[in-house]
Amino acid sequence: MPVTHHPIVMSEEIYFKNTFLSQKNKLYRFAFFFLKETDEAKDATQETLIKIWDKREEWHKVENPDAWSMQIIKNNCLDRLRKTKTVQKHQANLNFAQSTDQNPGTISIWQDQWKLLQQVLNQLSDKQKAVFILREIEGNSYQEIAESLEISEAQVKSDLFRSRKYLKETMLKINNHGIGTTRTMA
Amino acid sequence: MASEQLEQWLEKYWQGELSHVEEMQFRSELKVNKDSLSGELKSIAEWFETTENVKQELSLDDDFDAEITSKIHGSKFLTNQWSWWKVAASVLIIISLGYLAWLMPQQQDQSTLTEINNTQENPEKAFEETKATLLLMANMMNSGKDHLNSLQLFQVAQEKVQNSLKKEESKKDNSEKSI
Repeated sequence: MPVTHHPIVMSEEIYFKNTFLSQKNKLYRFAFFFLKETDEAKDATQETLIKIWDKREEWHKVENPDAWSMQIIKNNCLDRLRKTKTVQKHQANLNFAQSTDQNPGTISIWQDQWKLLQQVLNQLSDKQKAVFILREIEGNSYQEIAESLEISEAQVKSDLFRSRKYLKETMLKINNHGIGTTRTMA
Repeated sequence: MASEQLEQWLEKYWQGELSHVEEMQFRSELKVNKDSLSGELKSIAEWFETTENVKQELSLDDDFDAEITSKIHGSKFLTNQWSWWKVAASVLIIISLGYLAWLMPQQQDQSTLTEINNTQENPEKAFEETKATLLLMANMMNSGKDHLNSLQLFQVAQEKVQNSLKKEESKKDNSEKSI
C-alpha cells in the first residue's frame, strides 16, 4: 500500500510519484491480462498515468486514488479492445525461464498454471475477469475491488464465486486429463 | 496446521467465503506445508505460488518511471505555453472587436452618403423622396392649421361677447339720457 499525502502538502510531482506512479506494476498487470500484449499493456499504463497527471486539478476530489487509477486503466483497456474490434483469441505469453528460480520442474509447474490461468480468463466476462485479477493476482479485499470497479461488494463476491467455479472445474479437468505439454517435457 | 482446517479453508475458498485475512492465512499455510500436500490442496498451492510469481514477473522497470517523468515535465511546459496562447488569443479578440466597433459606424455613414448619391443619379427616386418629404410637411402644416381654426373660433366667440356687452352699455346710456 503506498504512502499517500494530501496534494496541497507536497509538490504535485512528488504526490504523483508516491501515489500513482508507485502503482505502475498493478496497473500494468491489469492491462496485460486484458490486452494480452506486453507492449500494448505498457502503452495503456503510460496513457493512464499521463491522463492522471493531466487531471491533477481533480486530485483533491479523489477519495481513493488507487481505485480511481484502476477505473481509468479499466476504461482505457476496454476502449482499446473496442477499437481493435477483433477478439484477441491468442494466449498471453509469459517467459518464466528468466525467473530467479531456475529449477526446470518449478518453471514447468508455473507454465502449466499460467495456461490454467489463461483458460479460466478466457471463460470470464470483462467484469468477472477484472474481479478475478484483482483478487487472485493482486490480493485486494472485496471492498477495494468494489471501489475500483464501481460495483457492490455483493457483486464482487458473486463474480468471484463464478470465477472460482471455472477455476475449480478447469483445475479438475487438468488433474484428470493433464494439460498435455509442459510437465511431460520437463 | 491440521489438514482438516486446510480442507475447510479450501471449501470456503471455492465458495468465495474466505475473508481477506483468512485467505492470507490459507495461502501462508499452504506455502509452509507445500511439500506435504496432495490432491486438490497441492493444486491450489501451486496455483497460489504461480499467481505470486506472475506478480513479480509482470513488472515495469525504472526506465518506465524516467519516461513518465520526462512526459509530465513536457506536459507542464505545454500547459504554460497554452496559457500564453490563451492570453495572446484574448488580446487578439479584444483588438478585433475594438476595430469592428470603430469601423461599423463609419461604414453606416458611407452607406447613407451612397444612398444620397444614388438619388442624384436617379431622378425618379429623387422625385419620390421629395414628394414624400413635401407630403410630410403638408401634413404637419394641416395639423398646425387645425390648431389655428380652434383659435379663430375662440376669437369669434370673444368678439360676440364684446359686441353684446357694448350694446347693453349703449342701451343703459340712452335710458339715463331720457331720464
